Amino acid sequence: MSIQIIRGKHSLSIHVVWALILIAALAASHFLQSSTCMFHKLTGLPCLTCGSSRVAQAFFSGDLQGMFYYNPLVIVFCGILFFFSLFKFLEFIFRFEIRISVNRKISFTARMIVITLIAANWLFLVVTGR
Amino acid sequence: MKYCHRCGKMSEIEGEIKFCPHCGASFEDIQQPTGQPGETPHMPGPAQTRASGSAVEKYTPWEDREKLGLIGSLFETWKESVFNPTRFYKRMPVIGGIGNPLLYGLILGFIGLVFQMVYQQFFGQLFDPSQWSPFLGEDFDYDFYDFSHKLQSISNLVNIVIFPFLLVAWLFIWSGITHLILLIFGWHKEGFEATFRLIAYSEGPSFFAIVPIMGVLISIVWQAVLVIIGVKEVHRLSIGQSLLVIFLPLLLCCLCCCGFASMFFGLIGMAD
Repeated sequence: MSIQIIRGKHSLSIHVVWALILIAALAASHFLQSSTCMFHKLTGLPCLTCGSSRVAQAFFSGDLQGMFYYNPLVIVFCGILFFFSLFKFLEFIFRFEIRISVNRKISFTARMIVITLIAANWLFLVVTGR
Repeated sequence: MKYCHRCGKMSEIEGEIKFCPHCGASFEDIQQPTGQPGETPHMPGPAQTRASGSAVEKYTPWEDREKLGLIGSLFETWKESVFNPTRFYKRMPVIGGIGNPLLYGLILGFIGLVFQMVYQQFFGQLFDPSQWSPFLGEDFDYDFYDFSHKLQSISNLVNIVIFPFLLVAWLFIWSGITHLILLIFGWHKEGFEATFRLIAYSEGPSFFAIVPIMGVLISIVWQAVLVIIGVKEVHRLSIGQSLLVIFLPLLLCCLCCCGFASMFFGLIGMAD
């Protein structure tokens, strides 16, 4: 694994847009009615993202416990995406860039961790009957 | 000084560097061209990168508007992306910013939306309740019908105003989910920018909304086919892998979490 810090002016990363999209999606979910999950309707089981609308509602009502209760991975994923986006913006402002390179072994391990987390989260949703 | 075989640029940073400062590619991962020791490697220009083992000239008519003109480049890109997608995506540059493909997607998407709105208004006016009164019965609420018809006209106007924002968000969300699946499986050969570009250039079939009633359905199916071909060519996957990347999020998540996706599909549903 190697980390490289590049100093100097560079173009604005397209990833900064994620923060804006997340804010807009949160605002939209506040005004929109929850949609019916087709996966849940067909199989009787929750889908990977079931509970996201309730997470958004819990976010607006300041219910921290509820945010993790309805779908823990959604709030974690959105949080990471938001701060990643913010970091990319800071990189642009302060004129630096961090590049991380990982070897195949670390990359494979990271992918396996992500898949395990997704599976564990889904199992949690099934067991708790979300 | 090091030459990047991915983006074709020279890095002028002194000392040992592992990454290209222009495109971020790792110098270690990039396959070096074969040749005799000491021989100067062939350096393709920025518009050339390897694809399927051979150098292919990277070119998208839409990004050559100065030469072809706005209408000419739009038509050429539309024709090639819709009717010859394999060739189009093989030649599509994977770097070069998101502005051009985004503009192309917005133009085609907007044309499609306008046709949907026009047909909706037209077919709505064809249904005159007074002519159908013997079939509708006495219970039919004419006042409510007039009210809902006016409301639909207002909602069409609102849709036209908010559509560009929704489409931009939708393109980012779709390409984000697609790229996430590629990352999880470790199948990504190019960056997020490449995935975004291929999805934005797949907006061509939106023009088929010109066909009344069935046009929207045709455009949705055709666009999905273009994205599958695009992912296959850009990330150099098999057709099975490409199908999995596109349909896995639909099967597992059904996108119900996403407010924007719901709004987008709602928009299509309203327009139908």
